[in-house]
Amino acid sequence: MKKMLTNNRAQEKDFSKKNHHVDFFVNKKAQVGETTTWLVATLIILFIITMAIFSLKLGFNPSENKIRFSYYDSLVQKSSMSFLLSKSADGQKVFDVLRNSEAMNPEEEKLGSQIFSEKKDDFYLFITFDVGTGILSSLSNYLTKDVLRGDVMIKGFDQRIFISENKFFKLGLYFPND
Amino acid sequence: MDKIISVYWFAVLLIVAGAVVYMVSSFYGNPYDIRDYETQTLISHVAECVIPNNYLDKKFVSEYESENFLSDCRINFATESDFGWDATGQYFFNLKIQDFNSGESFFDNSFGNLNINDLCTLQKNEITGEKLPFCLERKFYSVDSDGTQYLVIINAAIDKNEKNVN
Repeated sequence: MKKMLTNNRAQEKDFSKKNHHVDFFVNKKAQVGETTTWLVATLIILFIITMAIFSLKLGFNPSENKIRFSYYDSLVQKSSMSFLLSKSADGQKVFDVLRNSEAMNPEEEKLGSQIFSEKKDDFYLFITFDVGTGILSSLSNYLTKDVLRGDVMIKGFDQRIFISENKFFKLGLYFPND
Repeated sequence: MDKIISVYWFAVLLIVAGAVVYMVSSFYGNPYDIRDYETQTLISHVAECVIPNNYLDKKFVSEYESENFLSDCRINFATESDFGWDATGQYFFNLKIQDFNSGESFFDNSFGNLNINDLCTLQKNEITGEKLPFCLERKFYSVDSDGTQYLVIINAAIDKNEKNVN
């Protein structure tokens, strides 16, 4: 009898142990799935954060922390208008002379060169006398964009000043390559 | 096990929050230098006042009381009181109107804090420093209604380095 009781107890203990063992494994499996997901997620988060901080460090220099604006030069516009309103030797406005002629006279060309010869440290401004016919453009001529000068692509703009519907001369404002 | 996961979650939260705070403070913690744009705006405003409708206003090249220039052109140099700016003045500009061909000067006056101009002169002499004002010189061509040709030169400078430079 005593032996039977001992066996029963041993069986109960064993069963309890087995049951506990089974419960433990069931819980562990669920946790492994979740933990693996978040372990990978953590690695991805850390990678993204590291890349973000690294790119911030690379592309951000506090000493050069300046806002860059698209270049719009109202003074160039004033000079252009004044150039067209200037009087030539015969008392006519340059605007009228250009409107009625097919090419720029040497006199106007010289005046234009004097006016638009401003050379700055950070950009170059000059006039190109492309008086001729052209298609009216709706492009915003004052905004900086890539311009092909000869064989080289640089930043700048060509400002077309239309004298009549199909006649214009061209101002160039170009920035040196970075 | 639950405790370990809680700590782990908390660690992830701290890492993400810390990184966000670090990136935001790095980006916004340094001042933006907008004096370039401010100076261009000041120069444009002066130019617009002198040349209101494509022709240079002839009153500026005849007998003109330069004391009235700031009020005539609606220019106000007032600044915020931070760093004692309101007492010292942070703006300067010099306006020259001269004959385009002969160079004869019709108008040559300076306005604002003249000390800033001295610092601009130092910069022209290639003396560099971090806390110097931003200086800009622009020249442009103009005519009056009689067809007289002028060269307008505007030198402008803005100090305000405390809020624009590290």
